Amino acid sequence: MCRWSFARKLLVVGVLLSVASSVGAAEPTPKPEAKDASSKKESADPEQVGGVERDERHSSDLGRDIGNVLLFVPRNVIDLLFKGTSAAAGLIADNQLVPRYRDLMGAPGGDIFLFPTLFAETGSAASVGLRMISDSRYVTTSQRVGYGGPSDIEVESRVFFKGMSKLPFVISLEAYYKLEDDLEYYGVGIKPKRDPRNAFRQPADYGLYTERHVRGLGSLGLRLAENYELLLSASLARRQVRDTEDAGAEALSAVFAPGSVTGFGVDSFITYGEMAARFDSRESRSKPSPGVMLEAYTGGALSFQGANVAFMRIGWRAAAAFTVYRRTNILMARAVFDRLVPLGGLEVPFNELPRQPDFRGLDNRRDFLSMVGSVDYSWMLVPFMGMRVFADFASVAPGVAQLELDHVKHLRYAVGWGMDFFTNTSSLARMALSTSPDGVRLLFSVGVPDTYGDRQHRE
Amino acid sequence: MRSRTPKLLFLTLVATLAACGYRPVRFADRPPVTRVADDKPVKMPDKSTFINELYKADVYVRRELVNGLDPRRVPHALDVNAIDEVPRSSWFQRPRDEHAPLRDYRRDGPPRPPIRFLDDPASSGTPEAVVISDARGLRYELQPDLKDRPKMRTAAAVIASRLLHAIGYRTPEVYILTLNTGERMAATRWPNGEDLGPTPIVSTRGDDPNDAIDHLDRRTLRALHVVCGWLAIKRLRPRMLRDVYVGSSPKGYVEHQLVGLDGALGVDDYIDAVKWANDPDRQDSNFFLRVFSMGLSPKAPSIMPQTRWPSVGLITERLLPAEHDTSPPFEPFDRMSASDVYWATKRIAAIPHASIARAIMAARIKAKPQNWLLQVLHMRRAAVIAYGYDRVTPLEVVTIKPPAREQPAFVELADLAITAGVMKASKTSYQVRYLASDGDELGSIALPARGAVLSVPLPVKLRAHDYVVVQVTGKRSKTRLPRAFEVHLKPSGKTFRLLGVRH
Repeated sequence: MCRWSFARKLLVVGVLLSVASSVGAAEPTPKPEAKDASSKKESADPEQVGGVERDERHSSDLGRDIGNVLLFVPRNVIDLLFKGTSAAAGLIADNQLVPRYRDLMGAPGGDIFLFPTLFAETGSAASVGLRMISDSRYVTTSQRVGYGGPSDIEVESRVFFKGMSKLPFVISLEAYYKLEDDLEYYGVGIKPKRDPRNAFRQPADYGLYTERHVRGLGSLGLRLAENYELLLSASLARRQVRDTEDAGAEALSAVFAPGSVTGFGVDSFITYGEMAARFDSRESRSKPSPGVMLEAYTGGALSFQGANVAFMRIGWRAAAAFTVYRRTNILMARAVFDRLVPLGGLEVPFNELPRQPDFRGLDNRRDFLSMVGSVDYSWMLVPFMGMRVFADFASVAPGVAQLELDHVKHLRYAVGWGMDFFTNTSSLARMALSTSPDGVRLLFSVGVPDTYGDRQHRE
Repeated sequence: MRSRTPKLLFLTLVATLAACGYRPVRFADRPPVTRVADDKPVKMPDKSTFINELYKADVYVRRELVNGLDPRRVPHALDVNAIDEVPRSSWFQRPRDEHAPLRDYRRDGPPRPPIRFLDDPASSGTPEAVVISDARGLRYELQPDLKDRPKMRTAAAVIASRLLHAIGYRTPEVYILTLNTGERMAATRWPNGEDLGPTPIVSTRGDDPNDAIDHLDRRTLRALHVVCGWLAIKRLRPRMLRDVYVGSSPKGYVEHQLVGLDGALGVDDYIDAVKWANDPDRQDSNFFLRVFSMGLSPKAPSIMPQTRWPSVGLITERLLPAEHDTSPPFEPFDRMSASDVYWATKRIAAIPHASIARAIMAARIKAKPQNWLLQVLHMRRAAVIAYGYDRVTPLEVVTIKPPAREQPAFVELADLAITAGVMKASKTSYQVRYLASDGDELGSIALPARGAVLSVPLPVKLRAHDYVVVQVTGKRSKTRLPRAFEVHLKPSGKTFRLLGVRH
């Protein structure tokens, strides 16, 4: 039995298609004559304008046809990605929840866009998806499906109600489901293997688990002034954590002692309310722009079913961007501080502990306190494309009081290079390569970022 | 047992390759369309929105990637008829009198006093433009000149509008208007319908049933490259191509117009040069230097542009049409074929000298810059003609002579390069091939040029075929021209009937 590779099958299909078109071409199949062939010099049908019964064919056309078959999919995927992303970027405007007036006024109305998304990152399965956005003057809806394999599925549905009165606002309602497989838990602390809070049963660095996350979220965003936003949100979430199937000795329960990882094996049902305030004087968040950004938030979580959980989140982020030599060269320093405070002496599920998504090395540390600092230098090449080099530093600790010299000594770092495609209001595509003592991380993302929206979406 | 499929596949491939020689286009037996009825009543389509950054990302990134992955041959323009001409449509309209193409330029005429300034935003795209209403209630947009450059921008708008009209493009009227304050303005009759926003470039307008031909395959758009070269239009901004709803909904239709031509004749080049000289962040033009210098490359010295008269932009008599570039990229140009270049060249060459002079005079600038501009435009036109007539075999059918006495029928062709004086007959010859409908060669002859008109015999034996293609390839000083000219004929009694031509 002959086993055919995919490429060979594709080639055969291409050849057969070309043969079919050539054979068809050898026997001209004249198109129907115009209704009045004798005197009509006016055509309503543009296809009749050329008066062509059969197109010409050159000797090179066979090769072109085969090439066309082979390149059809990548060409149209890119075409669709750009067209859809461009259209959506114009609608969603920037990552800020509350669009500025000019964004609202610049957005086309009453349109529906359907386009693919693509996300790939070292250490996780590539995810392809589809996003549909409908937009009218006052309401925008977004539906998204992402697929990275049978155990890596993401579904999201959002509705935005936009207010364009003197005080611009956005009310957002969201339903979210995510199933993620092969997640790695390294334990808590900057050096988990040495941290006595982690009860490792074996020499493995991490345990694998699967998480199912269901969430309903409502939020209100107000733009109090040109650069000031106030964001209020409340969510109900259910999280289920299990061992990854077939993980064997790498399963979380096999790596860590039973009962040592809070939140593992139990369902948590948590309500969470948060208030965040943001000042952002940068002209654009997507392209290199000078300015200052300050954001602070606080929120409280309480379980209403399942294991008892109560905690508070506090955090801030600050960034300052300066021009260097040219106004299009931007040096930006940024610091991010996230703190989780347990309440009532209750334990906190490990998957609620702050992570470090701002760290562009491998984001695999969790603890009650997270700190990330970064320095970016970006320069614009053309009005829609820029490059950047960056250095990130990160650390975690059990709390502010527990910060000690050892955390500086074991400070994690990553340096890298990136390329961004953007508009004045939104990011279109990103590519970044970073290296750190933990390894190399490659990030490639086309389409509106999954995390657009308020602060909770960055978690 | 071994599979025979690979062998069969190989044989099929070889047979197919062998079978795929050149096969000419086949035209239907009907008169060429002279008018496209794309002005049927339609409900007024939605206004389109244009976001500049998205457009740039599209043309600089998506366009490059997608075109790079598309090996297909660019199709012949789809808005041309069987005789390779663009018929009248909502996109293109030949002047009624080709000998005096500006005779029908005036429709509404200049604004009639008293005029009233309106608060509405200008949409023709010219910076600082204001909207007025004249005594008849017609709307115009007034574009002022640049400070320190009196008459430059207004003159460019007036001249370019007339010359585009002479070629056949639909463009609003532009007149010089002097306000009571003494300020000189270019008054554009705009919008001359309901402005629907920029014409979509890469696709058709989905809500206009009359808009059925892919815009990338419209010769009127592809060939604009040649026109931009001639008129020194550097910036073909998407906002310059506008859709206008003519009439009242639902009885009206959409017309596609060119507007905002005040950057023509080197005006945009001048503005860009000044902007660049004044830009404290001016970048090096070398893209790779920008990448590797991390934006820190030394700033080039600031040099202000100089022109002989302030009323004229940065335009010179020197022009290499193939190298003329517009910014941002205009996607239909990527699909411009030699036939499209030739057609645009014909249209430009057809404008009488007097009409060019009349267009310049309408700008009301001083005699010296007028005279200089006339010379420059003529010299640039000569460069366009030399280039365009060298891309194809520039022949046109004059007539088909029926057989007489012992003589066979003839098809008489005019060589436009010889007619225009850019090539001598003594250095020209032609290779003629007679082809059947499927591309089989029926015979061939070589003919020398004896003047501007070439008589190609149509042997009697050709009448045995139902469809004949006469393929003529010109040679200039023994160098073959890049593309052959084809006349498609159908035997009709003792003579032949013209079905179509291809350049």
